[in-house]
Amino acid sequence: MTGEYGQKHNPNVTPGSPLLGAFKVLLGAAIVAVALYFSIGIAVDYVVPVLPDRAVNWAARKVTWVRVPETARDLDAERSVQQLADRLMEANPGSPEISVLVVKRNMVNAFAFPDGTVMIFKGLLDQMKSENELAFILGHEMAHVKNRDALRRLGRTFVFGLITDAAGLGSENVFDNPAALSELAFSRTQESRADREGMDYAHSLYGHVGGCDQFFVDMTHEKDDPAWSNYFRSHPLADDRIQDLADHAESMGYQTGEVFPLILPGPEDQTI
Amino acid sequence: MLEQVLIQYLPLLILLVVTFFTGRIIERRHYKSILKWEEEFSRLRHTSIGRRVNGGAGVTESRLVCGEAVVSVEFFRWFVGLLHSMFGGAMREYESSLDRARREAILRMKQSAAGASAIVNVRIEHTPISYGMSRFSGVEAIAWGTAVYKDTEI
Repeated sequence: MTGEYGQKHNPNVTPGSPLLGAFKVLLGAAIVAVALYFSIGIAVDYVVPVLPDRAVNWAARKVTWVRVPETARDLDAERSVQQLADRLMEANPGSPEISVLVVKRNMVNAFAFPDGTVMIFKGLLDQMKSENELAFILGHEMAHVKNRDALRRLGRTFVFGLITDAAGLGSENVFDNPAALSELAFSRTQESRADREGMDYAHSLYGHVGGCDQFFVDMTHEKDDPAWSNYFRSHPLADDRIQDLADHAESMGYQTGEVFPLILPGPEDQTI
Repeated sequence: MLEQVLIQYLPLLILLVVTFFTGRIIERRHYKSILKWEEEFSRLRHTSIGRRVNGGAGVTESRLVCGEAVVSVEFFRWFVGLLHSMFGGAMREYESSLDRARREAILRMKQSAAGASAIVNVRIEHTPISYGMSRFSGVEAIAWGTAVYKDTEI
């Protein structure tokens, strides 16, 4: 047998450029992935609100949503914020159970995960002037958990994870990097609703809503601070929210009252 | 955000680009060597027929000869093949490895049959080399047959 065919014109190898073939497959995979991603997102938006609590709890616990190394957490601050959260939960029977995670980062933001984990950055705690203000923020995040906002937003990631797992590609849907949390941006309506319900929660605890809007009032003065930039990307404008909160307080007949100063343990320079 | 994605997928991208080129270079060189050796061994014929030729007259010696070759599939082809295997279609990526492994195995079989008049009753087998559930890494080909030594040409 003489050598007849090599790399080219080989009857045993499908003709065509390998690079073009690879490109076609990659493009096909990308199109399928994107289509799947969006259709799942839409489906999740419709399905999550009507799911029974049991299913939601199952889905929420199926995934480790967030993993923060202990060294990146401020455990002392975490304990005191958790105590406040516990009081808030006690004052509001039927509210979702939340567990607080304080991350040593100079970022002004907080996130709620479907399993009730509330991640608060040290940068936000540093901005807090009163306990009432923090109670309102916690209430706001609690409302997000209760309204299944996080699951609605992350459900897509969750289902997508299940599919890639099944396909053997394997993926871990863990937010190792807090900067990747932009997934958790909620809609304007979701935020307003969480604001109102957060105010309700704070009202149940203190009997008044004093200090609730303090955070937003501070915020309007801090727009150019880089630590806040992430916050503004994921939240609606502060002025509107102050007005919304005032309207809500008025319609519910909430009064303002004395605010408690916030005392958090630990040295100031713990923030990294 | 884009930065994050880039950092996460940069190693994969680099691996794909690098292995694409190494795979192409190795394939070209392998085919070059295959073509050269096929030319060299063109006089030693091999056939899958096993029946007696001329009543076996003149056969002085016959023995089993065997050739094996393992040809790997580089990361680029494996990755594209993985996607192909999901969507369907000819897995072009693996075909060249199969072709090269088979021809290399035949050549090595011929190499071990120096001085033979022909190799008859040739059989070829393939085995995929893989580890894990999805990581296919290459193909092994074994060719074997009976080398026939004769006083005169068949």
